[in-house]
Amino acid sequence: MIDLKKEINERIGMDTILGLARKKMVPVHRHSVWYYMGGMLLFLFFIQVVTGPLLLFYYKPSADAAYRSITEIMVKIPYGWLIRSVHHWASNLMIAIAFIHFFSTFLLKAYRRPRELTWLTGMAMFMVVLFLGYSGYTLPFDERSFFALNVGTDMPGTMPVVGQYVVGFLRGGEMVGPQTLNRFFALHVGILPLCLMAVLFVHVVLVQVHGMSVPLSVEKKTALKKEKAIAKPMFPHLLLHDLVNCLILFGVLVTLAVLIPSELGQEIDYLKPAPEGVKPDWFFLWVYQILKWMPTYLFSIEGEIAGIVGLMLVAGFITLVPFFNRKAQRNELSPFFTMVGVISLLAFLALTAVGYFL
Amino acid sequence: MNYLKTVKPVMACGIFFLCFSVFKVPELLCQEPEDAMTIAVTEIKEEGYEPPAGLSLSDVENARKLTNKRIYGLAVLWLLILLVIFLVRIQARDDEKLYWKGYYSGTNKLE
Amino acid sequence: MRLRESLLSRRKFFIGSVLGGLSMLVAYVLNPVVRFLFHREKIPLPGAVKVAMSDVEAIAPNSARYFEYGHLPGILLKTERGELRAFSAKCTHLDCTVQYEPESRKFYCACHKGYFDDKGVNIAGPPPSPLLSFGMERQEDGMIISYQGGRKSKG
Ligand code: FES
Repeated sequence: MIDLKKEINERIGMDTILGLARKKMVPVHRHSVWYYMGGMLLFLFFIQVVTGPLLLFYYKPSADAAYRSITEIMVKIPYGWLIRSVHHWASNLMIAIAFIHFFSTFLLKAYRRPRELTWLTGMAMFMVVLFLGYSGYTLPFDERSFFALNVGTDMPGTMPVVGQYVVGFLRGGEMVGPQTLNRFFALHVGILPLCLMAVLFVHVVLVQVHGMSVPLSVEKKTALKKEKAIAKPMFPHLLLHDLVNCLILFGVLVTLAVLIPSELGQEIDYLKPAPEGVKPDWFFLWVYQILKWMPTYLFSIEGEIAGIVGLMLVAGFITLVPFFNRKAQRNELSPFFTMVGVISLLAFLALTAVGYFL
Repeated sequence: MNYLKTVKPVMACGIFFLCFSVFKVPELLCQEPEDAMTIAVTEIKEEGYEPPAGLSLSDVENARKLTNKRIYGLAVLWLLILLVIFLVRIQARDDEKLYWKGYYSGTNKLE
Repeated sequence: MRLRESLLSRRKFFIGSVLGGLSMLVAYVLNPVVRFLFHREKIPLPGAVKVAMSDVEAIAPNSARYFEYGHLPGILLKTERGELRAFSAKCTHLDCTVQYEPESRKFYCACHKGYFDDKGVNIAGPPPSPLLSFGMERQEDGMIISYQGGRKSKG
């Protein structure tokens, strides 16, 4: 009889892979929970990669067919409602967990030397994921998509110099119209996922190369007690843990999809006024709230421009934080940056809540 | 050098077939249609035939409604998930026990 | 005789049960996905179609015209003696659309060089069975062509 295990091993070198896997250790301490976020994100990405193409079997990316095809997916195609809802909820959960991953990394200063590149790739992915969420929102081409498209593609216009070009690129014309849908479709199913996959690969490889970052506080404590840090092998211990996490996550995902299936709004009517209370998705509510509160003029600059430039500065600062935070680079505690993190976390939560409930 | 010797004919074949396809296919596809190849017809509907009604927003709302079948399906899903988690936990605990005793379970070999 | 020890190691049992449980879960989850993917659109064929008499008369003898039978391509042949015959234009080999060759009075399929005679019978090349022929009925103002009235040669 053929020894399948041996045959496969001979060809793909399972032993080498397993050998590498057994060398990989994951530190265990009170902040270990945050290590699980990455695995969950990976799992959700996998869900999206599966459900997305499934939807493509029936979705028709053209202005006059998109809405109808979504209706058919929801009503006629067996389990179409479920697949679409799972895709919808997985994107929401993905963004939510990405926020958690982002804040925990920021607060624990996991971007310290030598992990600056990991941080940068992470930030790039964060932006791509946000844009993926937004572009997916526009594809049903219903009323909400229409206003999301209008507002969303208008905003980059306030950027100095390049603004108008970005708007033109996104809209494919002066105004949002049938052609805009195809551009967003191309971005959503082609360009953005490919970018995400490429950067994701680098990110994951870097994480494997550097191993998990241990928070400074934990490092200090173990150093004080002069004991060796506890660590467990990634495989199979942590992997089984990840498996359990993902199973629960999957259950939650499907439960949400069944209890609150994703909606479909009215068909687009170019002449209808914007309905009451159009708001962006929850993950952009904080931006929306800041822009709403901006005075028309701030120090003689137009309020919207000031707001957007301000946001871009903040984003730039956060992206480059590994290079600003000198203390963390020298492996010293940096309470100032912890404060910045806590304040932005609170501000994010507060603004989102305000935007949601008011 | 040996390598090139095998590759060259293969490449030559490839190029040959490429040319062949480029020149051959359009000829097949581009046959000029004669004029008036088609004839118009009217469909005769069978009695009692109704054109399928278009789907409306209320159909979508109906499709979104929670049904007993869906709750049942969800319950089964959770049951299976909990079962797998239970099984995984047993194995994980076993791994843990072995590990602290100094065995590594990943390769399935005791050492 | 009873075995003293189990032939199955504890670890093998654990791994087996985990994999078993997991595959049950995967199968359960795959069910909706498969159902989703294998949905088939039902596009009914029309019960019959009608060709106006004036159009029929306009066809030259020994030539054929295509017509739409729902989404199925049909071909209406007028023989030299003025006899009318209607066939499905789908080749019985691999579903290409056939054409009429007036010179040889045959239906010709370009895909793999299949031939049918003017009665639709497969005579050369790979086609395994005759063309599906439609039922015809002459009315005052036109010809009624119907699928049901035809003889089924395939399927
Ligand atoms: S399809 Fe007509 S001969 Fe092959």
